Amino acid sequence: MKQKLIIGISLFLLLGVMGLIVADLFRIPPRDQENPEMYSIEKQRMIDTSQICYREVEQFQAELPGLQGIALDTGLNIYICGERIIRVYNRSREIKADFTVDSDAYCIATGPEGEIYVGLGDHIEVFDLSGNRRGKWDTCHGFLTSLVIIGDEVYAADGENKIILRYDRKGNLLNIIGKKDREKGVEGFIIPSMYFDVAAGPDNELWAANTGRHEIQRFSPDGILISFWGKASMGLDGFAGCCNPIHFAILPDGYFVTYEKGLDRIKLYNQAGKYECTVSGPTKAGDHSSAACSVSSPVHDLAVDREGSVYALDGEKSVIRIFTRK
Amino acid sequence: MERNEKFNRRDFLHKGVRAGIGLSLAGIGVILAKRTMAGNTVWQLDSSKCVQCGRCATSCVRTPSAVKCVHVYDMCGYCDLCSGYLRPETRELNTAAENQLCPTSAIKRRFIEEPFFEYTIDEDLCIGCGKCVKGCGAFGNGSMQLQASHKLCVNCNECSIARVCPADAWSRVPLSQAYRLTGFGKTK
Repeated sequence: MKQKLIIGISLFLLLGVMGLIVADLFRIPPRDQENPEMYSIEKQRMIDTSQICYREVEQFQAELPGLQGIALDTGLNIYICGERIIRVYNRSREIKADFTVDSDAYCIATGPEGEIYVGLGDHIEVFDLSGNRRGKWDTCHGFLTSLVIIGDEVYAADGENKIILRYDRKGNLLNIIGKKDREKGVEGFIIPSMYFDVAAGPDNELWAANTGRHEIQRFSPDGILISFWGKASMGLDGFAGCCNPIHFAILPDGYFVTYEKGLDRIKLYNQAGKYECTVSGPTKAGDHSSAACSVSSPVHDLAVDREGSVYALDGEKSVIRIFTRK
Repeated sequence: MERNEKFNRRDFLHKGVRAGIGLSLAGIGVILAKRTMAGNTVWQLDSSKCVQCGRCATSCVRTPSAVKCVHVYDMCGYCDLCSGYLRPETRELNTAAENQLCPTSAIKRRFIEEPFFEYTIDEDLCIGCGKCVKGCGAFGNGSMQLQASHKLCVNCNECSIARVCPADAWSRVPLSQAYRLTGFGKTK
């Protein structure tokens, strides 16, 4: 009797173990659990839609590789540059001019007489609308990231040497702005990554993005720092990460349009540098295009027109996105 | 029916057996060659494909993982507000533990000159989680990158991290090119 009981219990236990083994075989593995320790900036990236004061009114495909720069002229023609190419669109988005250059173009600006200034890595070349080269200026031994024409002068931002070169329109170097000089108390620009933008204000004043300081700074033509604004912050009121804003433009009323890499957002600040609202940015999870391991900065340049529209050059998709105020 | 005298069954068998032996020898040769070549290769992570999922820290047969953060100083901006060192919403830019992104404090911050700081990795403390890599890539230049340290990697036949890597970033590379760091030199 006792032996039968032991055999019964043993059989029961054996069946139980077998049942567990079979259940384990057919068990669905648990899904990957969210790692609470993982680095995430999704929360900071999301922008409340109530903050967005612009609407995207147009988006057109440029279908050019490696787009890096955009500029507008007074006739609202759009100039873009990329891998060894310059293209001009008229207001109807028809190609007005299209010509090749000797090397990759990283920045572009237009002059009052229709001339096109192009930053080709370490030097500037000047073209007319037919693609005829009117000038090739001396090398700066650096890397030009932005150009702006103010009156009869051309200002070129050199991201590698962290200086701004001031030329006359014939290509003569007049002076250098922002060169580090301890004796004169000039700190120099802090440019941790190769993004260094310059723009002209409504009163023909020069502004530069000192990205490592998270500031936009105003300079006199001879290089004296006149004013600045900006602060580091993950919030909308400041500039996020190590070095932002990487691009900016100034509207005719003096408002600033800025673009930040990492959080991939275009924002609007008033003349005093106070945050006004957001032009564009991620409003839902996964609302960005770049690979997880690289800097998320699809916008490669910004421009504005006299009517206050904002033009964002999406270099990853070769698209020009146009925003107008709501 | 006329038989084909030139290619009878015996010939067919002879030739078939010879071909079989030849193919087998060739196959063995290929396998041996592959194994010989494999002896000169090591597992490495392609940092351009890495998505910093965290599996390198947890799936390696070594504890802590043989995967470590490597700092490519050539690319580093020496930023005060280093997104690879500091948590995203840090207010104070200092070395306080609550501000540090690294769960093991493996990154050391050293002042160079205003406003530049140098960041070095203490390999003994690094667990290869990739948080700093993700932070650096999100805002900075991507100078922090994960790599298998060949001082620690035991070069398993089948790498347990490669098996679970969602980005297919692991592969065998020649021993002469044992590290796959990217992005030397700055470009726009």
